[in-house]
Amino acid sequence: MTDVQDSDAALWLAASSGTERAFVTIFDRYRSRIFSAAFRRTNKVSDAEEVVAIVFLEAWKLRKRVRIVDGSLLPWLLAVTANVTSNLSRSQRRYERMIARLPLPPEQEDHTSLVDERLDSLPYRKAIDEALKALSAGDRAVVELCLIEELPLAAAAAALDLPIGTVKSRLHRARKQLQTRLAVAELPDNLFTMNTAEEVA
Amino acid sequence: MPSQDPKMTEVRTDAIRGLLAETIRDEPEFRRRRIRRRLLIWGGVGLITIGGLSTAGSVLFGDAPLTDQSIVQCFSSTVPNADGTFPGSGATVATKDGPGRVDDALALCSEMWRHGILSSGYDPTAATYAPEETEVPALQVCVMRDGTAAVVPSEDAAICQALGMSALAR
Repeated sequence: MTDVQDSDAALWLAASSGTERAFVTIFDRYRSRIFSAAFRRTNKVSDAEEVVAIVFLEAWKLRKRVRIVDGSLLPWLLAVTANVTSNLSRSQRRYERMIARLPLPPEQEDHTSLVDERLDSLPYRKAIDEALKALSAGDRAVVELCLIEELPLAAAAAALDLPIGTVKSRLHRARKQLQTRLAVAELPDNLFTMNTAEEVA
Repeated sequence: MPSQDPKMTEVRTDAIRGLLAETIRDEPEFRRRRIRRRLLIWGGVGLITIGGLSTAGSVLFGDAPLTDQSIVQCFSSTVPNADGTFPGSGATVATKDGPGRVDDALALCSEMWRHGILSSGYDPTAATYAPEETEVPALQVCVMRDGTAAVVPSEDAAICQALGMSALAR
């Protein structure tokens, strides 16, 4: 059970008041989740690590605009992750000085085979990636939060600071575009027709 | 399949953690606030000296009335150091006169305990200091040989005599 003092809201309040330990606690709480989301988009460990650093640096920079959704920072952090990864080069340039201070990635095991395996096990992955890249940044962020991260519509709307109706319409439009683009890939019928509980309701 | 995902490397995770902590530490807004807070503590409460308290000789002998109210010794332990001094802090108070001086001494040391300054983990040389609420132990006000107050952590009302000091006359 999360103690009130350990809640995201309490930690964020402490962190944004300059308490390093609170910020580091938030970092440790969500870094794995952010890294996974970043790795899904970059397929490169060192890039995904840099995304994690950038996301938390952005969170610090935008600390007065952070949105806590249902008591959690995660939706907002995932929205920042989506923004950062969709403009990775620009983000890396913006935080170039900070990133340069990170140690070089250690000699890592080659993840290419892992990535290949993932692609093999998800035969539509490449086509989906390309179709996602073809979406506008706004639509893509909605798709990433609602369909890939499986956040509820309301949480995604709050994280993106959009009305829920806008999120629904973007999702609808994105699904149509994805279905059109992926029609040739013979995707399973239900791939982009998953509905969140709210939509069903 | 998240379980197949690689993990962040430990060395870069540690580096990112350090980078974030440093970013917060170096934030001008908080650096200024820290300086202000330090000045407030040092100016309002007085000069706080941390470390070994060099009061060995004067503390341990004789009885004396509370004649010097300009300084308070806040002991962090009743167990003396190897050189006979007591660990703790000396603090001066801002005003010299006025009622409730003994209460002031008690309140002053209680405040230092509350902020963790007398806790064993407190590092006076640390670059940053984030006050934490620490439980205040039972405290006794004693009078040292030189007439200054010493606030000792103990529930034992006879601790002053046990340490060679006078209990404060009520």
